[in-house]
Amino acid sequence: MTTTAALPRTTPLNAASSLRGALNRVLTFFQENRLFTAGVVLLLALFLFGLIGSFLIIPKGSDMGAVPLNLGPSAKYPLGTDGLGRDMMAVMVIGIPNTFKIGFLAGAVGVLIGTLIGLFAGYYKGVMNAIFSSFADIMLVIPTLAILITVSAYVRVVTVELMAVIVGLLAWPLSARVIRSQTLSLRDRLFVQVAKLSGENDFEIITRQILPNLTAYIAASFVGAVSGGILASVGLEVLGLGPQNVPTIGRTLFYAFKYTALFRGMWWWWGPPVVTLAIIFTGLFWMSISLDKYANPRLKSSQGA
Amino acid sequence: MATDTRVLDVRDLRVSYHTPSGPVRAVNGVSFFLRPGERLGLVGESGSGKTTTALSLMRLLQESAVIEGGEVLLDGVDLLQLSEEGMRQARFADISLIPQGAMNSLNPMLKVGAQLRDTIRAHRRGSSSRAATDVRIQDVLDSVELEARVMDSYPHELSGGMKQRICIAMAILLSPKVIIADEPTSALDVVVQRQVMETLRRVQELLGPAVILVGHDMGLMAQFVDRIGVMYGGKLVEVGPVRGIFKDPLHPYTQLLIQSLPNLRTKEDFRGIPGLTPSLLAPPPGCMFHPRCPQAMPRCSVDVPVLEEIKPDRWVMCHLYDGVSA
Amino acid sequence: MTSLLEAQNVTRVFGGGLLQKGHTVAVDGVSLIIDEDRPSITAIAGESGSGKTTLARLLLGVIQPTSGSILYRGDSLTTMDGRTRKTFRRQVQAIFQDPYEAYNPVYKVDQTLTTPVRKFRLAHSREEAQQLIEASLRMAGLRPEETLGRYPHQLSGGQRQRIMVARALLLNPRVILADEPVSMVDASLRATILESLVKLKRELGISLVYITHDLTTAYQVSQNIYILYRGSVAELGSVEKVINDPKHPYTRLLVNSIPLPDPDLHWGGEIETKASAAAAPLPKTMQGCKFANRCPYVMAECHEAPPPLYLTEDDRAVACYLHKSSVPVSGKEMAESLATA
Repeated sequence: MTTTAALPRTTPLNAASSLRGALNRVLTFFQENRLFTAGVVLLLALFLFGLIGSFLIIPKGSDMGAVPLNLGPSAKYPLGTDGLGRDMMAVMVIGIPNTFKIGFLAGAVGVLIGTLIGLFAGYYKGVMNAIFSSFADIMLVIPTLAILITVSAYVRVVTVELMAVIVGLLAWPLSARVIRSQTLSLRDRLFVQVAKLSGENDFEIITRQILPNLTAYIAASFVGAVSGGILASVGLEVLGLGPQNVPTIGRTLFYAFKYTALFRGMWWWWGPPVVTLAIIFTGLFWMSISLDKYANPRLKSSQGA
Repeated sequence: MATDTRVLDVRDLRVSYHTPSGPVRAVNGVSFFLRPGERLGLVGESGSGKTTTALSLMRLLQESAVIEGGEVLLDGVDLLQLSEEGMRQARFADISLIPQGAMNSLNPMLKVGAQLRDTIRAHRRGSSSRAATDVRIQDVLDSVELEARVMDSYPHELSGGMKQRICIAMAILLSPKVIIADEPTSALDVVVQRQVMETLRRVQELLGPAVILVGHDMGLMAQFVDRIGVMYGGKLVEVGPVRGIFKDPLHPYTQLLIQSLPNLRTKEDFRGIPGLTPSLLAPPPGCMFHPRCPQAMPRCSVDVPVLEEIKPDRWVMCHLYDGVSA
Repeated sequence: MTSLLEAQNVTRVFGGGLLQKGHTVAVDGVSLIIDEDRPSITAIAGESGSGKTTLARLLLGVIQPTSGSILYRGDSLTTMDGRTRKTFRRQVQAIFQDPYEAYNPVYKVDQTLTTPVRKFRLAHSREEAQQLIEASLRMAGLRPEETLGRYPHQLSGGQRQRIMVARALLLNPRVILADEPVSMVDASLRATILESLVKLKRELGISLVYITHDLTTAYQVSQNIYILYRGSVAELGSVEKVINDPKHPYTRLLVNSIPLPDPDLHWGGEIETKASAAAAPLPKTMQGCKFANRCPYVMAECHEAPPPLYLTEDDRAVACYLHKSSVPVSGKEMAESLATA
C-alpha cells in the first residue's frame, strides 16, 4: 500500500553518517525488542561476572586440592569450596566463559555449515537439493547425544575448542533446513530475476541478493544453535565426558553428583551451576522468542504497507 | 429536483491510521448520501481513502485504524454508535459487503452451502426452518445464476467468477438495504468481470438494495453506476450523476482523470497527471490537489475548499466554484 | 528484414514428463519476429492462462522451449556461446508488472541501477556511472535527487516502475519486454509511463513487446497484436483491425467485455453463458480448436483438428474455421509479414 509521496532526504551520504545511521538502527532495535534486550542483558551480566571475576580470584583456586574441602560460603570463599578442594568462585568465574565459548563456537560452526548447505541445496534444486535434504533429515533424526557420547569416548584429550567443533558439526541440520526453505522461496522472487537480467551470476545472486535477506533466519538459527550447543556440551560434561583439564559448569555438576553433594547438603556446589544454566537458557530463550517474529513472517502482525 | 429520501447518510466521516511516524488521515471529512435503490460509485486512486471509507461503513477496519468522528446513518440509525453486538447484527442483514478478492473471504474448509446457511443462522430474524432457509438460498443462487449443486462444493473447486458470485449471493441473502462492493472484480479476467458485474446489476434491479461500488476503474463505473463520487487525498472532491462526471467534469482532478483514460478511438494520446499523490502524513496546506492542479490560484494553497452543491445534484470541492451555488 | 529476436514455432509444456499426467501446454506453437531495422511495438494480449507471461519468459531466455527455438540475431538461445549470450542479455531487457517485488528490500533502489552498469561495464569511472544513471532517470521522468538513496518502500509505485524504465534505458537495449508494466500503477500515472515507453521506440528505436490483458492500452500503444488463448494464437495482426473489427469469436468476446469509459456505450454483443467452461482444464483427448467448448459458433470440424491461421487481410489472420475461405498461412509467414509491414 503506497499512500505517501517520496519522503524528503534526511542525511547526506557519507561514511560517518552511515555509521551513525547503523548505530541508530541497532539502538532502535534494542528499544523495540525489550525481551531480546533483556535476554542479552542476562547473558552479558553472566559474561561480565566471568570477566571481572577473573581479576578478583586466583586462577589456581580452581585446581583440585587448592583449598580446604567442603567449606560453606564465607567471606574468604564467597561460594564455598567443593569436595575436591576447589574454590567454587574460581570454578564459576572460569567455567562460565568456557561454557559461553563452547556454545558460541558450536553455534557458529553449526550455523556456518548449515547456511552453506542450506543455500546450496535451496538454490540449485534437483539432485543436489535432494541429496543434502535427505542427509539433513536423517541427521536430525539420529540422537545427537548418542553420537557425541560415542565420539567423545574415542577422543582422548578433549579441549574446549574440539568439543565445540564436534557439537557444532552435529548442529547444522536444523539451520540448514530453515535456510534451505527460505532460499527456495527467495530464488523465485522477482528481484532475483531482475538481478539475473542485470548480468549477475549465480554466486553473486546467492551472496548479494539472497543472503542479505536471510539475516533474520541466520540470527534466529544462531541463537538456537548456541542453545543447542550449550545443552549438548553440558549434557556430555555431566556424564563425565568433555574437557577434563578445564573447569566447566557441566563437569562441576558431574563432580557434584559423583560426590553426592545433594545428600550432603552442599548446595553451594550444585547450586551455582544450576542457577547459571537457568540464567543462560532463560536469556537465550528470550532472545530466540523475540527473533521469532522476524524469522517467522506469519507471526508478524499486519501493520499496513 | 430528485427526491432526497436517503437510505444511507454519511456525515463528516473521519478515519485515521496510527503509524509509527504519526497519524495518517485516510478519510478526512467525507460526506455523501445514497438514495434507495441507487448505484453510487466511489472512485479514487491508491491512497484516496475509498476503501477505508467503505470498510468504515461496515466497521470492519483493522486495529490500527480509528474512526475519529462523523455519522453513518442507515435509515436514521447511526451505525457508528451501535454496540459491537448491534453492529454485528446489522452486518449482512442491513448493510453487507462484497469484498475484494473472493478467494480470501470464503472459508476453505466449509462447503458453500454450509457457509450460506451460517450467514442466515447468524442473523436469524424470526423463525426459519432448515427448509425455509434452503428455499431462500436457492432463490438467491438462482438470481446469481448458479446451480444448486454449488452448495455441495468447496470454494477451491469453483472458479474465481463463481466464488465472487457466491459472495454476491451471501451479500443479498438477508435482503440488506445497502450493499458495498469493494473492487469485486479486481482479481478477475475481463470476460468474467463483465459476467459478475451484470449479475450484480441484475440482482440489484430485482431486489432493490442501494449499492456502493468502490474502485479505480472508470470504465466499470461508467457501465454500472448512476452517480459517481471522486475521492482524492482522503476527501470527496466531486459527486455527480455518471453522465455529468464523464461529459462535464467540474473538479480539475476529475477533468484530468477523465482525460487520462485510454480509449479505443485515438492512439498514442497520452495525458497523464503529473506530480505525485499527496502525503497523508504531511498533507499540503489548503487544497490537497493544488500542487498538481493546472488551475491553482493563490487561494488554493491557503484555504481548504468545502464540498458544495453548485448545481442540482452536482457537488464540488474547489475554489474555482466559490460563490456559485444551486 | 533482419531478425533480431525471434520465436520459431515455440511450444512450452509444464509438468507431466514421462507419465503425461497433469501437464499443461502453456505456449503452443507460437511464432513471432522482431525486426532489427524497423522498431515496432507488438502487443501480446490474453487473459490469465493464455500463456503470455510464459512466452515473455521464453523470449527473455529465462526458460527454455520444449520444442521450437528462440533466436537472437539468428543464434538459438540454447546453443549460443557465452559471449553472444552476454550481448543478448544486454540487448533484450524487461520491465515487470510488480513495481515492489522487482526490488530487493534490503538495498536502496540505486542498486538496481548500479548493478547493470557494473556488470555490463557501461561506464569507466564512478562519475561517469553516476552521470549515466542520472541521465536515464531523467529520461524516465524522475528527479535523481528525489529517487536515489532511498529504499523501495520509501517510494511510490509509480516512481518504482519508472526507475525500472530508467534501468531498461541504461542498458540501451534493442528490445524491451514489458510484462503488464502499468497494471499495478495508478490510472493517472499509467498514461505517463506508457508515453515514456512509446517514446523509447520513437526516439531511441527500441522495439517493445507489450504483454497485457488490457486491450485498451494495447490499442493505444502497439502496431500489431497477438491474441492468445490457452497458449495458441487465436488472432493476430494490425491492432486497429483486430480490436475494431475482431473476427475470432474469442477476440469478439474479449472486446465486447471491455468496460468502456462512456456511460452511453454499454457492454455490447453476446456474452457466453457457459461460464464454467472457461475455467475447466482442457481434456487431454481434445484435438480440435481450444475454444470449441465455449464458442457460440462451434461446428463439427472444430472438434476434429485445431484450425490454421487464415489470412483474412494482408495484415491480419484468424485461427478459426469460420474464415476457412481465406488463404491459410503459417505462423512463421505471418510473423515475417507483420515484421516487414
